[in-house]
Amino acid sequence: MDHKIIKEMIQLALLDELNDEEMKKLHQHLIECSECQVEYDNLNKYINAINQNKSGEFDDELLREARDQFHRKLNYDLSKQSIFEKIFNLFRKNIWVYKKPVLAGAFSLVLGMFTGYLIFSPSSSNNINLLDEKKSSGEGPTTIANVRFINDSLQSGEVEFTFDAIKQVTMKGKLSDPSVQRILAEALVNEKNPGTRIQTVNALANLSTNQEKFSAGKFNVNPKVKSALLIALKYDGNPAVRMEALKALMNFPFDNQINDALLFVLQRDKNSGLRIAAINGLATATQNGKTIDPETIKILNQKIKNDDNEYVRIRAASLVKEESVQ
Amino acid sequence: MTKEENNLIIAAQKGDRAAFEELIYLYDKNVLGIAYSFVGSNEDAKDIYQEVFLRVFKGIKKFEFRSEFSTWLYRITTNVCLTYRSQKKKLAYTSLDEEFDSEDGEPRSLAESITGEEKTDSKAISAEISEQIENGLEKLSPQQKMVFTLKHYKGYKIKEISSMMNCTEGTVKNYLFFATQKMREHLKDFLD
Repeated sequence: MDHKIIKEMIQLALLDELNDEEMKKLHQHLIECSECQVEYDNLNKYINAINQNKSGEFDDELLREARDQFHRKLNYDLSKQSIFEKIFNLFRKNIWVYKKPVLAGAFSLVLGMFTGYLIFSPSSSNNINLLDEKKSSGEGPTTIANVRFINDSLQSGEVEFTFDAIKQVTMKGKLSDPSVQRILAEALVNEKNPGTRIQTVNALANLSTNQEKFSAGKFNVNPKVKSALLIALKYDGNPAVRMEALKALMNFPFDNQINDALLFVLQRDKNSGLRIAAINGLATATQNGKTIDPETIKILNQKIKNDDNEYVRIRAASLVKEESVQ
Repeated sequence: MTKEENNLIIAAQKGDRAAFEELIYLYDKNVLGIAYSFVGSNEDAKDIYQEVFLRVFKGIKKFEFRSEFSTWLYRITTNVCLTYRSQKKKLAYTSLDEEFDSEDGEPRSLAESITGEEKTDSKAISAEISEQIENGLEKLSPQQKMVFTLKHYKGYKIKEISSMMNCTEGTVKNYLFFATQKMREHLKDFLD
């Protein structure tokens, strides 16, 4: 038999890839051929060395981090779905059910837009430009990176790929500007540097602490800000960022989303400081008239029994007691 | 594919987020294992994990049950690994003076940690071989490295690897033989 083929068979045999008949043939050859026996021993030594120095074992913490990071990204991507997409999806789902009113509405909308265009025909573009020249300036050329081919079928003569087009941009604007808020919200969720995330959350907290303007509706707070703060509170890997996000959220009008996020922290956060802040947040909300629902009572009862931190246990007990008195 | 898995896929295709999560938790440890073996870094492995499951999330509605879900998933995983480029510069060697956290919490250097004990030589040799294997892997093409990783580190059969990488078994064998030849040359001084 050809020695080249035998060498390949030896490798496959050592990797448990030969069937019984092939193994029999190989053994027969090895009995007769000393050269191939030497090759077998050498390759065996090599494969043993590889197996003894295996990489690829990781701890459960890495899996947990990967899951959390993915959740954060997915939540953020889903929250990015624009209002227009939501309307479009609603429209698409219901078009056959409410065909006539939907078509009539769509026709009226198109007619209205056309009329509006004729009346207020713009002399210059009014498109929202997030990075317009008044508040931002681009510096340097765009860098293309991370080119990834999705499809490079040469036969069809087409290629499909994704890439990152990176350009450094300087932006200056007021915190009340929704476009500034949107960028800060995105930075809070996606920025890898925890220091930058803390600076970002502080900037957003500064926005939400202006209660007077906030409640008077003078601030047009981008909904993404709250969404980003909720994601940061639940999933950010850095406890300082989570803490600042919690403080910022406590300046928002207390609602079910914030309540759920505080319960999430109370149940899952390993940092006792954050659990304390979360239970204090729930207590403050209760003092301000929020009633405690049965689900919250259930979680508080679990905390009374199981939490490592004495303060959390005591505070949970007092909250349950206060609720039962009422 | 089990009936339960089938139901989870159908529910996920209808937008049931909980079903999607349950589905990916059946396989995400393997996905992370492949990614980690391939890139050898926690951060890069997490990036790959994220990219894989975002693609799965976006593509699951188009999954038509023409293959096993796991085959489709691992194919995405190998594609992402093969096109992944780390954004961080990795250090090729760990300095002996570099500090690390010991079990008792005191920072020690690698040089301090390998002194005087009975098993010092074998430990040092093993560390050296591991390092050489890592260096050798970097010299392979991404496809060869992927086949090597899936076979030697994750223990997949050649047939399974060919499904994952969407190529023939013959191609997988060729990658494997070439990778073995290169790695043997690289490790020659340490194993002879």
